[in-house]
Amino acid sequence: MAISSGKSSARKTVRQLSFAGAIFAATGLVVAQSAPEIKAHLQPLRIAAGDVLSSRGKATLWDSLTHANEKDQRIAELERQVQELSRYKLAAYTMTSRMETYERILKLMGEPMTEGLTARIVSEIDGPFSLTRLANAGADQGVPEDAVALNEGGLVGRVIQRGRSSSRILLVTDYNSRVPVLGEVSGARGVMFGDRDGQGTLTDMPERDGFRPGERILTSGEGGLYPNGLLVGRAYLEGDNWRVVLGMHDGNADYVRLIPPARIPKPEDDPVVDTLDELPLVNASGEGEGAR
Amino acid sequence: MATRSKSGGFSSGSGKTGRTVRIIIGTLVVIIAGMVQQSPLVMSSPELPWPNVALWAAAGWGLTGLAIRPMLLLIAFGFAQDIQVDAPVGAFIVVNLVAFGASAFLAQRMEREVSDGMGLFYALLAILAGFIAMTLLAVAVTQSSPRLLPILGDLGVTLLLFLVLFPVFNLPPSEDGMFRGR
Repeated sequence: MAISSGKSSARKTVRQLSFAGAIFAATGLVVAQSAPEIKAHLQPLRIAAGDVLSSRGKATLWDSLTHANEKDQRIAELERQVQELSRYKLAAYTMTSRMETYERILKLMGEPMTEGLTARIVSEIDGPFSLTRLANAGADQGVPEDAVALNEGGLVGRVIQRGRSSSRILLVTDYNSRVPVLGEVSGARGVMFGDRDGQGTLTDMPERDGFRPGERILTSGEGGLYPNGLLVGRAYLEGDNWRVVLGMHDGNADYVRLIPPARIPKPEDDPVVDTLDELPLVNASGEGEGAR
Repeated sequence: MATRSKSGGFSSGSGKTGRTVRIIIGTLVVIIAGMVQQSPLVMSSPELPWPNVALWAAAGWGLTGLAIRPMLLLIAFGFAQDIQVDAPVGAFIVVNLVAFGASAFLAQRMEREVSDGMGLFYALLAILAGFIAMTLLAVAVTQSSPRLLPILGDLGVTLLLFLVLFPVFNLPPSEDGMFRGR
């Protein structure tokens, strides 16, 4: 009896120690991931999981039962057309902003029209840790690294993980999202981050009162991640804070267009090398001739 | 008031076999409920991952005290949940274990004979503890105040469904007689 009681007590102690050990280990793992180097080691696992999740078929059991596939296909076709048209609408905003800049500053280097592809959102994560969407297109479909996601309403977010057949998009509504923006009319600049209510808040504004209520907020292109002139939303004043009603909420939640980031190479990364081959040889008589 | 005997109110048998079968059934329920959120059976588009199903198991299984097998399963569930919802790896493991530990702690304070109603009440409290842990972890990790409405919505759905599924996760005593109320 005493032996049995002792055994039971020992088992209980082992369980309690295992429980405490597991809690500490898991907490330590969470804390350790605040280091980007450690977090990076777990990225391949997440990317693989994203690929698996996005590879599921489109048709559902309910669709099969209700013969909704044909209607869905038609809707999808129309949505694709809307996507294409919205691309031109956004391009028009971009060009308007650019033209105004051209008028003010002569010989400003313009930005080329960007290409991209449309992807379907297969999963959304609206949890307490992050606000992300999983799109069913990845590197194999031509999604570039750090691609920018748009819908017909405006900027949706940025690709933070790119798998072979899926991409995870960090929404601009996420608290950790930072988008350099400017006012279309005022030209005032700031940085927008996502807030709890699903809208944006403007911060880091050199010109505190520069924005105009109701004006369109566009990406400024600073930092080289987001192209210049993408529609983000409209500005409004809430108390002392400038907020942004995000345009993405007006757009389709099921599809996004993924375009390349506005990455401009630094001069040191793409230097112009003047070689001796290109220098003209000047002889004594003053006539130029190619030389070595 | 209905009471639950040592042999378990819902199990046809007692001991390790009945317990193992119930753990397997509970595991299947968690896996299926977790997968339904991401499967073609889902009618919503886009699909919404819902990572709280493992809290049912944590709260129900914890009523029989701390045990190794449920703990290992909860760790595995937590890992899958972390990957599913893009949380830091370990976060949902902590959440599951907190709910499990809270359930076990509350169960230890019970009398040896206890009504299923009280067991259910303690399990609901354990789920609540899990949600509080999740919220606090989210605040610590994201360094921002949490969006309470979605969390409260998830909590409500989790509690409501647990009221229905409680018998599935209500285990008979463990091999060495460990059972809720001990």
